[in-house]
Amino acid sequence: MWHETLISRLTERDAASAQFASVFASANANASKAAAAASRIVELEAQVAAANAIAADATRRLGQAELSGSPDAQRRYAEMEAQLAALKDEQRDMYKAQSQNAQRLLEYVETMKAHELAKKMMTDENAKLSAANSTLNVRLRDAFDLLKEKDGVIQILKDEMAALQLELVQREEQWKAAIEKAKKLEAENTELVDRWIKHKQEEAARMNEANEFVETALKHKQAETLKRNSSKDIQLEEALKPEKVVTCFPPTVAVKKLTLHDGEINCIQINKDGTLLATGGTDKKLILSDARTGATKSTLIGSLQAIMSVDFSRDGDSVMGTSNDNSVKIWSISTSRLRHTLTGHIGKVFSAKFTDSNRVVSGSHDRTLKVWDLNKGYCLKTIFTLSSCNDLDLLDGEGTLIVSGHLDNNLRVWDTRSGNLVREVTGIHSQQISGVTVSHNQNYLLTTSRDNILKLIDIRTFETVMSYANDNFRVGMNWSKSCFSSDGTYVASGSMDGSVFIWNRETGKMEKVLKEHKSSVCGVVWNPLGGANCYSIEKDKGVVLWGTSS
Amino acid sequence: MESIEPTVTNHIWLGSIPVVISLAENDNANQREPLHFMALRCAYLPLYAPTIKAHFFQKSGSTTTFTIDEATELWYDFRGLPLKWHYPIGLLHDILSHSSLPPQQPTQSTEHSLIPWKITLHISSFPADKLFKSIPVPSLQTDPPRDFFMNSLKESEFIRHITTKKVMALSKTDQMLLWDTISESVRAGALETTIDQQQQRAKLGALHDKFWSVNARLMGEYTHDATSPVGGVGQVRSVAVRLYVGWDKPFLQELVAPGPEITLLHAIRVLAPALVPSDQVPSAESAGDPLTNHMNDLQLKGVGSNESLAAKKEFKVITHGVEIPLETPLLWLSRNFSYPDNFLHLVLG
Repeated sequence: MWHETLISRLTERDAASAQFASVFASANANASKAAAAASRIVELEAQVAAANAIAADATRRLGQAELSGSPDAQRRYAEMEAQLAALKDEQRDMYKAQSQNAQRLLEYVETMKAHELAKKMMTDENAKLSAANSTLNVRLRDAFDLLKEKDGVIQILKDEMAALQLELVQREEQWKAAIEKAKKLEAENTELVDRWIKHKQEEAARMNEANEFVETALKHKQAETLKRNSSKDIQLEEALKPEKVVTCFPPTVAVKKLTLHDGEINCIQINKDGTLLATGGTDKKLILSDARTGATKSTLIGSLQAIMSVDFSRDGDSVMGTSNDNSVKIWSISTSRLRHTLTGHIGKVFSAKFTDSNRVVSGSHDRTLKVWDLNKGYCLKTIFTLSSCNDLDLLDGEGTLIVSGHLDNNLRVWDTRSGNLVREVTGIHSQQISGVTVSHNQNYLLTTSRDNILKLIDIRTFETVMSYANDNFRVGMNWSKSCFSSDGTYVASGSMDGSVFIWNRETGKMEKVLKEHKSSVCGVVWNPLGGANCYSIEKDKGVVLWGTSS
Repeated sequence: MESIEPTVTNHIWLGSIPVVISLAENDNANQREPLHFMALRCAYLPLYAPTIKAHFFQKSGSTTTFTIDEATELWYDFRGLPLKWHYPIGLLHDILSHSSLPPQQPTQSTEHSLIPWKITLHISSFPADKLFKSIPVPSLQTDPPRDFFMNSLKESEFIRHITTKKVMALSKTDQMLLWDTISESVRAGALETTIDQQQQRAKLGALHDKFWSVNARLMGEYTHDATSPVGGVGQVRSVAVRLYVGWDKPFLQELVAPGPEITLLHAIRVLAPALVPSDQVPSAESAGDPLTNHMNDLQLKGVGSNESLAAKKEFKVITHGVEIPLETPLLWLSRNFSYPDNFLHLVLG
């Protein structure tokens, strides 16, 4: 129902509007017609206006004509007048031209005069030039003659050159012959050299034979002396034994104070007999002095840099100094002459020790240890330690086992035959180890460290047995070293404030503080003969000999 | 009764209003005679601008000519009210004919009093605060009337399907065809009077068919299955409907769920609850609620006595110049009585 309603309503609506459509259409048609008509009217109006304008123009012209006769006569008159005006103009132009011509004539006369003058000058010049021309011709002929002469000279020179060329060829041939000769001579020379070398070799072989003979003879002799020595040793040992029983005791007073060096003293060592002191310093000297009197015996020179450690050989005949100049030098004590210079380290050599078998073990800041054979004079073995070595000591006389103290706070034990690391002792110190000393009975190790603690280490177990420290004890140098007393009862070390500390080895109790030095004490040694004789060095040149009383 | 009926849509497409346009007193032109023409209800005012310019500004004779350039905005007023050109002409006419005008305007009492529709043309003092500019900007490639139309189309599509996929899926030419058929219709309708009316109707009918060949894809699949849940894929979720209650009041737009038994009255109940007392529709309070709507479908079957209710009503609903019976099914109305932008523009009278 709604559907129908809607449809019907739509239809209704459309019907309602549709009626307008036709009305609108016609209205629009009418409107457009009206518009067209309007525009047509406008157009017509415009046409009318145009026609009116034409009419007005015609009227105006008519009036004009009436005013001034017939237009034809008027035109002729005007023409005549124009002609007259033109003629007048022409006349004026003519006059003007005439005056101009007169002016121009004058100018021409002037210029002609000038030209004549010029012509005269030209003629003169022409005469001059022809004269010059004739002289030039003469000169040209002369030049031709000269040229001919030169041609003759050239011919002569050419002949000469040919002759020289010939000579050159001859000379070349001579030169070739000379070269040939030289070659021959050279061959002869080589042959002679070969012969000479052969001769030399033979000679060398003979020399070797002789050497061998001498060596065997020396060995024989040595064996004999050894036999003799062994018997002597037994006697010595027997003689020493009672002396060893005599205990050491702490010194109480400075017996002597010496100033040996010109610079700082770095190291001190005493020989086995307790008679000689060796000190080395930054003045590059190694000084040997009497252990009792302090008198200087000899000054050993040769080092290029400061000496950092000294050691006496087992036979007491040589003294060794290690130096910052990367070398190790060995002097003869009896002759004061330099015996060996061991070079090979590429860093400062901080420590070196003689072994019983005429060898040297050295430790350097180039992170290596080197074993040297003094018989042959060269390096036998190089051990890489991974850390700079500050000090080393032998665990046995042969030097097969050595112990080294390092910059990285650790202690290392090495087998020098194989070069292997036997043991690494870590964690004992919190600062770099400046010194390592093995006790006389080879049971203990004493380490000195920049952490201001001395440690006693059992060699069998590598465990810390005892620590020595004091509030006032401060290690002053990277190369400060401590020592055992000769009987092993005490431990002595120097401090930065110039005092020497003495501890009881077994109890760790501090026995004595000796105050004599002014500056940092960097080394103490105890006389092997025992008693209270010990020696300390300070940085500032001083050496003090200690004892019980003067 | 939910299918598209070409006879009805053809009626809607061909619907036109007789319009008389006269020039405003303060503007000058070559022609002061008013222009009479039949304006299509589905078309928009800017589409008639060429016809209007041709009438008022054609050169005639040697009288002083007034020329206007391309960028001059033409605008129209009806009794001092500027006409919103983005509303279809039919909608403008319906609102001005039937709804209450602002107080200073005398309210129109009868439906046909606005036929023919006399409106005034202005070429100066464009009221930029009340109207949008409709002149295309070539540099921006915009054509405001077309863009407004396409936006409106997408909006209605979104309301129906909660997506504009269908519009976006149309090819460019198909999208353009929707607008071009309207503008071509305007040109065909504005032809000279020499062509007879039968020929004109045939031409408009052909354009209508062309328009629906594309638009059927947007409006076509309305096969509402009562057993399938509301809101399924491809289902119509809501009907795109707007209710205009006055010239200077915003239109009312709510989501109205479709259903076989949902009538225009239900829609009005949702859009303007104050108009329809609850006693008029037994279960009307839930008619527009999409969730409960379906539950009440069975109860709503009993609303056969709507005719008596309509008789008692104090309002009427107008679109395309005709009053719509309140018992008309909403879906059918949406499919057949929508404007080309697929909105059902209803005017409350």
